Amino acid sequence: MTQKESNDAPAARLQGLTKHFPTFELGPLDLTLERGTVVALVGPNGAGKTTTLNCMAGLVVPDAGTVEIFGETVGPNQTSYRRNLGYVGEGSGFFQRWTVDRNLDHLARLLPGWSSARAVQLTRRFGLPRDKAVRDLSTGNRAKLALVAALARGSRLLLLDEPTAGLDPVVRAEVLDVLWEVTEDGEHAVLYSTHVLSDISRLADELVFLRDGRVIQRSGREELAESWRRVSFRLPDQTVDLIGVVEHRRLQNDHQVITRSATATLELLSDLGAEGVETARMTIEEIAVQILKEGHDVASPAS
Amino acid sequence: MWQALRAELAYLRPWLLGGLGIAVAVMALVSVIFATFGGPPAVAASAIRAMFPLAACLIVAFIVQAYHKDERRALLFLAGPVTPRQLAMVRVLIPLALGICGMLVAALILSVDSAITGSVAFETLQIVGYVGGQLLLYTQMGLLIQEAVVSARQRRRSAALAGWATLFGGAILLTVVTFAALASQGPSTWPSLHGANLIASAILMVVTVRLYTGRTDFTH
Repeated sequence: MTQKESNDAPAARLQGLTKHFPTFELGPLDLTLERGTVVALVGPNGAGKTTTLNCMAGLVVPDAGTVEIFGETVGPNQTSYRRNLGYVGEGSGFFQRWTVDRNLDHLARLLPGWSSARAVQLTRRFGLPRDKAVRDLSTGNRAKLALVAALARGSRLLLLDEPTAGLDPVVRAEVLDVLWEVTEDGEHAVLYSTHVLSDISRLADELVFLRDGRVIQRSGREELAESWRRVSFRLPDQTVDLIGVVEHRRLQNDHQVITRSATATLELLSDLGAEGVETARMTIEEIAVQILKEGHDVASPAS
Repeated sequence: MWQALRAELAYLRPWLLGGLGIAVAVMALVSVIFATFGGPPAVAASAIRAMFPLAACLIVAFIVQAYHKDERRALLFLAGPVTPRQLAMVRVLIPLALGICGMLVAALILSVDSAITGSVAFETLQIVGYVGGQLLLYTQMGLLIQEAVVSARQRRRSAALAGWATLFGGAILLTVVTFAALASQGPSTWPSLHGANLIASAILMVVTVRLYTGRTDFTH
């Protein structure tokens, strides 16, 4: 049954998504991606990031649960949702012996909504050698080509699986620039998985932390940046049990803690009469690493 | 679906032309050897010459299957308005298209033979047709084996079982029909052999399409 796209539906909605593998189980996963948001899927290897994206793209059939893209059900035999979806994952399916231009020509014929002008503009912007065979392209150029294909079809939801993996810093910055421009209009939603945590602070509005196939935390970037702090203080002759602390180091009377509830921790320290309290902001990368390290301890209800 | 099939056929064109080029060169060499040193009877010589393009097309079909898998073409087509069923049909239609191409080139060679020698024996046409049918069958067997293996990996046991059962059941049935047709040696022998090839190929194609459509993972 083909569903019509709904005007007020979120960009993507996952409900009870479950997929079993012999050594791994994804879900049940519930996740909503609003229009115009950029969400980073963060997790260690084998957390389920790629499987989640593949299920959303209709490339992997879940054992249970549903995926909707702009209100349209995703399934291998459904095709209407795909016009709103651009997917960049491991492998692209391009004709490797054909040139970039020939592949783009083929896509223009295959994909409804394709904009050749946009494709040309993006290939120029990325400096893609259009007369070179895809198999002769560098890893970075292949990633750029996949991104061109995803963007030139006018998709309103981009699923990006490690889009900057294997790219040198300059190319990564270019790719992130383009993604930044694309999402600036507030129309495009992006869900991307990454190991490169520095990408997160540049792009993501929200972070979804996956571990062992489950969402362990979902938070806004600003919210995380405001609530996590590194706090150092002096508290003589006292054993302290602080709220929200995920890491605590002590050298005699000098303490250094990492807290995910800065306000509560500072209030308690004030009540305890701690001296020399100093706080330092943490980068999103540092926070992400802490959350993933302490995943099971800091788990909070996923939205 | 037709756009996908057209693209695949355009992609394999260099291999096809190269393969046919080599086949024609080898065929010419064989013809020179036959003419110089004496070869088999005219019936067999014609049939042998016509086999080269058929074999070239079979090899190209296997090469294309490998590339299709290596380049993970499904990812490209399933991003567009192509369903897995249509993609599966593209996969089984490519060897068919190549088989038809091989048969056309073989027919051309036989026509040239006919023009030179005055006539081509009825048996020659039948032998070439039979070999063409067999080669089509082998390429379809390759695809079905691939799907049966994928089904087993995806823990779709009944699908895998159906694939292997079709393969072995078909092979046994085909062998029986072939022996029965050869034993009868009547006017129905060749039609039976051709019919068995075509029906077996069609069954393999249908089962392959069904198994592919039932995949739970299209990323590999």
